Amino acid sequence: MALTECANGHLYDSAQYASCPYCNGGVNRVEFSSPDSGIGKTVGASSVVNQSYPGEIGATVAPASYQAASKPAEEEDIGKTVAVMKKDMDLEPVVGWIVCIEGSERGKDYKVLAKNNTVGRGEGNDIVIKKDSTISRQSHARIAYDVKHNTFHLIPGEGTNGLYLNDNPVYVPTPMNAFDLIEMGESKFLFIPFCGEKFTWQNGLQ
Amino acid sequence: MPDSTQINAANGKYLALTPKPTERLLSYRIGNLQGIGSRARQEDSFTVMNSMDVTAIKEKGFFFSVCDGMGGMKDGKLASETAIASLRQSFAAMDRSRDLSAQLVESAYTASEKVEELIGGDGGSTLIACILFEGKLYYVSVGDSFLFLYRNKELVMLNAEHTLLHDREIEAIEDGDVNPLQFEGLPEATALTGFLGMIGLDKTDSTVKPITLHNGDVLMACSDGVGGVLSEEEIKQSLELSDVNHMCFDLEQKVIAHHRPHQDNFTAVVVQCIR
Repeated sequence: MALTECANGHLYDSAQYASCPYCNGGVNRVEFSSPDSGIGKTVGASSVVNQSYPGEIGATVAPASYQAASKPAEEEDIGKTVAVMKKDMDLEPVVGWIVCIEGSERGKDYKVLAKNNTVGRGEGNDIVIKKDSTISRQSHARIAYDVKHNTFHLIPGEGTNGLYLNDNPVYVPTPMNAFDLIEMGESKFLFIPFCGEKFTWQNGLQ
Repeated sequence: MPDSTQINAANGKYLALTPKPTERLLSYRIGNLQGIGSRARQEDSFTVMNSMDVTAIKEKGFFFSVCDGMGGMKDGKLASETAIASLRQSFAAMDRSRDLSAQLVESAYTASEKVEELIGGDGGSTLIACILFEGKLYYVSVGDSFLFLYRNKELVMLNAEHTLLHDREIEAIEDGDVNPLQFEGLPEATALTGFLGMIGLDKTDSTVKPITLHNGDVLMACSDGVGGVLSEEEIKQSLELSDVNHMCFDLEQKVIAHHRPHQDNFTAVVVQCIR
């Protein structure tokens, strides 16, 4: 037996096969022109693979509610968020936002809920900044909302790549105000409170 | 207790010892298998990297991945091939001095974006991707493919699935409801709630800390055409065989012997760790 790894990473016995048996038979090969272009170029039997097929029994599928073309994902999210808020109103309503103004997620906003919000790159955090690899996975920092005093604090977490508020390093819990600039890793965020002098969930609009 | 760990009396935590200089590094014996089942097309894809190059394994690690393109949706093969090509590129470019777990999860999101760009969210692929580096396993998983570890005569599934059934069970447990049978017969139970190419993909399952591999461990990444067809006992019996090629052959024969009228594409990569 002469085990061989082909260009696409399939192991086969070259004493038995002249070329890789897993690559043959109209199998597509996809090449990317450069690491960042993101444009896939298909080579091979594209006339066969570019059709869409009816469902097969036992096939791997998404739920019927998942529809890519009509963008229901956003609408569904909105519905879901409202439902959760209604249910848990006393616990975790939204009290503010941070908005990414510089970095790989520029333009995106993140909800600050009425609790001690962890901020990190991993999915377990309350505020997830997925694309900045210089932000720690778990709890780079925390944004705490104090229900009793209606105040916000920025609290340092496990982040090793820096945490700054208005260009000052944050080593201890530091109070935050509207339009304060938070810097984490290679990203910058503005803080926008929703609860404050004009509105709180306990007392409503003043 | 495994000889690679000791108890630190000060805090009671397990600490890994640095390998003794005389200790030999783990080597890997690798095999793969793939069949089309009763389907018209092969929509699973897989890859291994550096399997033939001991120096590359030492310096850059060994990479393997299995992707199950979603049938019944647009272009499963294109999705799984695109994902594999993207993952291969990401693995080659990783910085070995930085956290590989995080980089592997990032590579999954990168692959997902590439699949989404190409297919427009109307289809995609599951994913199991593993890096073996310095005797440790890092993995990332999306969807309902399987990663098994066979160790000390026990078979453990390492990854959590992203299916409607699994999500409902997790939600129930989080709400304090521990009756797992209540979702039997749930419509679309096996439908995927996460896959590469999904618009707004927001979940992966991955190693937070890498898993230290031992002499005799066997890893198997497979599509549901293997993991959903064979029982854990059947898989265990195959992975108990001494040689990785026999394991692959045995698994393949068992899948075929099930004679499923709707046998899905089946694919597996098997890695045996030997000191």
